Amino acid sequence: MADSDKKNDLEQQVKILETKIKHLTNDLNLTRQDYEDSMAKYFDIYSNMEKKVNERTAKLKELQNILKIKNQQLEIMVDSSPGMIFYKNSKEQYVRVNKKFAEMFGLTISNILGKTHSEIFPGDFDNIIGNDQEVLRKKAPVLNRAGFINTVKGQRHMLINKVPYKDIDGNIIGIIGFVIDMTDMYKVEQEKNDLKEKLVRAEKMEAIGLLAGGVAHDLNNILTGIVSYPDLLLLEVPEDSPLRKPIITIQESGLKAAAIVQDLLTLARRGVIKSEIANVNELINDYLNSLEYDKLKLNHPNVIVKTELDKKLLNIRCSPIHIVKTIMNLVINAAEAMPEGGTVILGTKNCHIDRAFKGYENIKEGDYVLLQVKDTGMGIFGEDINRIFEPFYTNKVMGKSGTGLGMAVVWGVVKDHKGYIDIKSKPDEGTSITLYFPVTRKNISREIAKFSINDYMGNGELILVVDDIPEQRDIASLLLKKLNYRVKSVSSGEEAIKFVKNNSVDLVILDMIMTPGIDGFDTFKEMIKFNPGQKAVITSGFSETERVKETQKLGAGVYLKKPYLFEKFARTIKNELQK
Amino acid sequence: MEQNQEKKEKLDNLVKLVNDSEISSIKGIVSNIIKTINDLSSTAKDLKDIIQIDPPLTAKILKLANSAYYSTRSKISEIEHAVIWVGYDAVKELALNQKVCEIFNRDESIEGYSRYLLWKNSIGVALLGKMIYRREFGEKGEDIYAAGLLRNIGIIAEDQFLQSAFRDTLKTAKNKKKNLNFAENEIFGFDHTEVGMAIATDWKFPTELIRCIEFHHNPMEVEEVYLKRKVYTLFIADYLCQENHIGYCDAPHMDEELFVECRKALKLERYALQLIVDDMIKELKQMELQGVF
Repeated sequence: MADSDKKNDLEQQVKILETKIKHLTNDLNLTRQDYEDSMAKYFDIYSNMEKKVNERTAKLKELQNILKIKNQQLEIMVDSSPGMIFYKNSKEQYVRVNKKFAEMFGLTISNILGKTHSEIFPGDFDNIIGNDQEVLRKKAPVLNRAGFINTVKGQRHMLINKVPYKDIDGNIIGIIGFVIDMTDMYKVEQEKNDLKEKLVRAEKMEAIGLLAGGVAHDLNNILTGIVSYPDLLLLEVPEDSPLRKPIITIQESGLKAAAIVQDLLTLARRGVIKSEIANVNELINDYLNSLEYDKLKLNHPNVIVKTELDKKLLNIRCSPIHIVKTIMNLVINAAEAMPEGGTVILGTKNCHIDRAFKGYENIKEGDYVLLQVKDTGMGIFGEDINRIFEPFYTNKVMGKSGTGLGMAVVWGVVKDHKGYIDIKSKPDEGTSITLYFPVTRKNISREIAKFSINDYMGNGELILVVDDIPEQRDIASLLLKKLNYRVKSVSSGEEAIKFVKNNSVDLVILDMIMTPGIDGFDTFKEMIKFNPGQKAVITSGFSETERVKETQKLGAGVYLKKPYLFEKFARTIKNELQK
Repeated sequence: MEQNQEKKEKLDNLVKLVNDSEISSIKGIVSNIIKTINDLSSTAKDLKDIIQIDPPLTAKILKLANSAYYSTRSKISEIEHAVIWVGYDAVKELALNQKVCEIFNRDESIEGYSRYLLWKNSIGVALLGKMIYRREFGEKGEDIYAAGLLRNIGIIAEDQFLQSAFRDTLKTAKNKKKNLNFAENEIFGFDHTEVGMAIATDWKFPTELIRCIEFHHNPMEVEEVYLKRKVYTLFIADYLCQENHIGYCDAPHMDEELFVECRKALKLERYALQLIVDDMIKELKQMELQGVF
């Protein structure tokens, strides 16, 4: 090969190598550039990823926090709920219960979790909380089931809602329950109903009272004749006259009628109760010696009445007629509760209540005389016990005995004496009714002063009788004349004022209620305008009203209740004139 | 004039057919990849966004990224990681290959033509073009890669929609010992560069790419100075691939004069190009093993 060729060949090889170097260098540069680009992008992506991870971590933390707070809120809500809340799994094991739930059973939450109701309460699991059969069978919520659950607070009346917790396929994976203790609410509800009933009863009594009060006023006026004339007749009739006995009987009947009117008034709770010091033992004896008791023995031959009386029994301030009447009513009721016969025990004793207690009603602290009437009869049934004091409430055949007012009168009398009633009764074992009367420390002051007409004779004083009813005027006039007074009678307040203006009157007997025209109060008010110091006696068949008291404040004297009893009438007039 | 009007109508019609066919399915992704190639501020995330909307493409890219060729240490399961591992530019190239490859799928060999061979040729030209750019000019040459892949899209459209007429052109070219565009002009009144240009224009490809497609058989006609190197290089790559029988050759009757003219204009030595061709052939084999085609 020629040198030049060789040279050319070598030159060519050098050229190729140079080209190769150039190619490799270029490629290397680009590759390095690529590499650098990739690196840059890698760091871009990496830092981006890091940023993203940080962002996501922060978000996750935030979410976790929210979740934690929500969970805490839920826990607080669940645990502060006044109701019992539980969650059981599909095996009926408790998974979560709230504080109230554990509290009600007197257990700790950890003692409950993981166990079934029957494991916790082996002897008491078949109840609305323990038994899940219904909700498991229905696979639907079971709402407002009521039932009794034994808790640390005793047996409680509960209301429960159970909701099945299901997975997507509808299989029950748990049971959520909400239980509310309704006991107190039911109790309040019951009390409310009782109060309502009491109110209705009170209204009924009130209505009857109004009616009775109205009737009593008229009856008393009518009775005045029957009660007052016999006194006058007896004064006329010789001591050995065979008429004396019938006349006394007439008077006694009138007095009894007056007593009945008094009962009606008592019932009306406007009782013009005559207050005396008396001993209940004596009043029981009075009853046992009465005609009424004889009649009872006749009607109930198989009934034995026994007494268990405390010999050292304290006195009470009372209206003896009313107490006797009460005893009588209770004994009649007791006897009638034993149609096959039995024993009635009348008992008394002293009793000190040092802490108020709830019997049939709330009985307050104090010293009491107890009057107990016990029978061995059929007892009083459920609802009846709450209503026996209602007027005309009876499960006896109406009309057979009594007026339907017997027990109502008992109630009224006891209330008028500021006493209380307690009843204990068991069907077929008998009933015991105990009356509590406040004790008085005063001795018996029932003076039965020997009545002598001569002590009360007048000296011709002029007395003005003001009454709208003619019979009343006549009786008063007759009585006054018998007592040696001069009498003038008028039928209205207006006439009376006119008369007093022109004449000097020693005493005015002033009826409180007069129709038409002004009443006793207005009449007296007018009279003292021109004649201050005018003496007066106020009379009425009605209760001692505010109006009566106001009139007395103006200076009128005693209040003289109709019907007039001669002795009392005479004494009152005499006393007033001597003032 | 009337002839031009008729040609335009024919071409428009063809483009319409292409747009109604499966071929158009590559439009969006290919356009977007080319956009990221031309946009210097594009990021790996942009590329990821383009690729991930096409699940088969995503799967293919991940498969390639995980292949022995790239010998990953741990399994790559995200496009973003593939971009880091394989390289941003390599992923673009892979994506482009995959997408363009889809339209060359159905295979059938007539007169030395088949879509597979056409595809192989396209890859070869694209690869060679890129390598010339890298090694001779020290530039990345990504757009010339795309141009290499897509320069014969017109042939695909003809193959698909003009079918028997296209087979006639293949026969005519062979019988008359002429290049394909001669037969096309004779039978259709236009050639595949015009069809490709029409499609690329309709698909709103960048101007450089449209020009490359338009002038890939007659590079001297390109007027824009900044495009000359690209168009000349594409022609040189095309010439060299034909010379080395890489895939289907639409212009077996080579214009050596034009080749030399281009080579001279770009100051590329024959031996230097031969060095690159040798390496290209090696790499193409590698790609074949990789399963790119």
